[in-house]
Amino acid sequence: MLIDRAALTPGQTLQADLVIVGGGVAGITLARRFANSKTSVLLLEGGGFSATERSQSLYEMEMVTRHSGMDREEVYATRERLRFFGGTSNHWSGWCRPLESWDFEERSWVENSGWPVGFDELKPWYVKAQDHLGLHAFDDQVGPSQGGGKRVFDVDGADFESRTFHFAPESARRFRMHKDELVAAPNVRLLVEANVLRLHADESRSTVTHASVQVEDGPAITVRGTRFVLATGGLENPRVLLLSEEQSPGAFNRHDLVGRYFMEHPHDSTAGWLVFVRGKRREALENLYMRRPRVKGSEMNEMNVWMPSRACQEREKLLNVTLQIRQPKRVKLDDLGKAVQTTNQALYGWDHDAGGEQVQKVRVWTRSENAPRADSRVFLGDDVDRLGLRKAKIDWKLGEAESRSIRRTFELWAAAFAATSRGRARIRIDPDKPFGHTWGGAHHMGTTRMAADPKAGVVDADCKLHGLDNLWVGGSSVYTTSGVANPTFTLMALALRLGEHLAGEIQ
Amino acid sequence: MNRRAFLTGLSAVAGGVVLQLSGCGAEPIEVTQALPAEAAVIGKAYLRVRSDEGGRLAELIFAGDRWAGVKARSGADVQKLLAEQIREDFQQGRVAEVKGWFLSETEGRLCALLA
Repeated sequence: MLIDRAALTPGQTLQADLVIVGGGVAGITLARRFANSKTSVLLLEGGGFSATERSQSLYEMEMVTRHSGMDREEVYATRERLRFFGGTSNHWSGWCRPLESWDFEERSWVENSGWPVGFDELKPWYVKAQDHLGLHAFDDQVGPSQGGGKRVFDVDGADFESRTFHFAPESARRFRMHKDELVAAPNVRLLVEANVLRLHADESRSTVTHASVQVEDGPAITVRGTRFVLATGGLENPRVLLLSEEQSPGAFNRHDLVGRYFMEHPHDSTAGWLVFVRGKRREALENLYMRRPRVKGSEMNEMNVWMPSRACQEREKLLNVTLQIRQPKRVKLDDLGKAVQTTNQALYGWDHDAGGEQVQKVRVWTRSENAPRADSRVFLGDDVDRLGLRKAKIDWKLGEAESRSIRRTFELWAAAFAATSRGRARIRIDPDKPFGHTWGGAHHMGTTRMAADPKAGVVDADCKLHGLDNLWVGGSSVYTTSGVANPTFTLMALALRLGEHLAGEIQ
Repeated sequence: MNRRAFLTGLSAVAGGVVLQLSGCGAEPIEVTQALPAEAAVIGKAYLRVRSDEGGRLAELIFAGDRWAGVKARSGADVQKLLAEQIREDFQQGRVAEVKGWFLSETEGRLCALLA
């Protein structure tokens, strides 16, 4: 049922077996797991059923991106995150791909790496997430339309492999679509425009007792629960915990880890150019590496990218990086580039191979894993929002690990491509300003990182907050490392896994 | 064919470099024949990055074992061997970054012969 906000009274207490804070992908996935069960569920969503400036304003924070001795400040998160039912899935473009198996490993060349769970443990949940989102199987390295092999183009070999992103169709990726299903479930209550101000712990600091909630244009109420799941996103999860810690010191941030290890995916859409011969390779390159419908007329899309193999990443001590090519617009070669093209046409008969057709010029995008750093973090600033709560601030750190990984990956890939005699690449990243054109993907990760050791992470392998017996965290804030795939697919798999874990506990 | 005989068989002609393959009894072969005039742009840029190679470009290009027993009799043969060497450069990391473009050392040097 949908709780009538107008009927709520000041100081009223709502109670449930399971209280889920946040109606985004993780929260809705969990609520659906328990819909029509014997477990009473209360789902609290801060916004309503559509975006409003008033609700979005509560996300406002300041972000400083620091790298190479340069700081870039911006007002952040009012566009990147959506504060209404369905959460950020309301503008999610649907990119799906599991993390790589080695993303979960402790890699000697990546400090602070290593999840307490491995890929194999998560794999069945990826499969379930894939079914929920109507995706094709990820069993092979690339999509089934390429024949099941991982070798897509001549570039692929010892150092590079192709990876396929699948795109969740519009019909499956807007989680607001599940509203009616949840409202109809007799055991689920949904309260929207319910701003959770803080969680509160008992005196022993081992149990969450209640949440204080301010209803928009309504009363302040109390929500009690046997179990709580915090699923408000990679920026709000740490903020709620840090605000809660102010009231219950030692309960929610006892090792000063909440908000730390903030990670994003640094993207660069001007990283380089690729000049390549189309010709007979059109099917194998231009189509495969640009977003396209898998089935003509279908909404389904998929796109391949290149990634250094695990062996290459280990040998070169690289973070995970992907390269992708984009539509051939606005690539205007300089004189040297024209000479490279003309010379290769002469050397390798590109014109001949192409049947006299043209050579293609495309932009190359890079996306990198973000190294987990303790001083890259979300913390509370001094400014307060209209609810009187301290706003969050973000200090996002990028450094040599990312810039070297991106440049070296590009260099190796350019050489691998050139060795095919089919194309030449140019890097356009200024070595003196390696992040001059970097932007984030609104992929907020790591701020309640997962670790077996309470001194190394905020949540354990089951996403339960270390030291508290009834609080779990949903969302990409639990990521130990960022990988290079978009986070939503993995966070959905984690939410499905968490649902099963909680169901086992409740029984 | 030994390397010394090979190298003394190189000479510059208008707009190109001629390779005289001693012992083959063949006509001189212009090794840069296949390159367009624009290749000089690459060559000049390459020499700005690798200025120390300026006086020994041909020596560096033809230094590998590939050329020790070469039986090339035509420009096409030489062209094929050079293309193989360029591919091998990329595979083995003999790469120069020139204004962001990643060039094989062999192709950079070939182009520099025209610069």
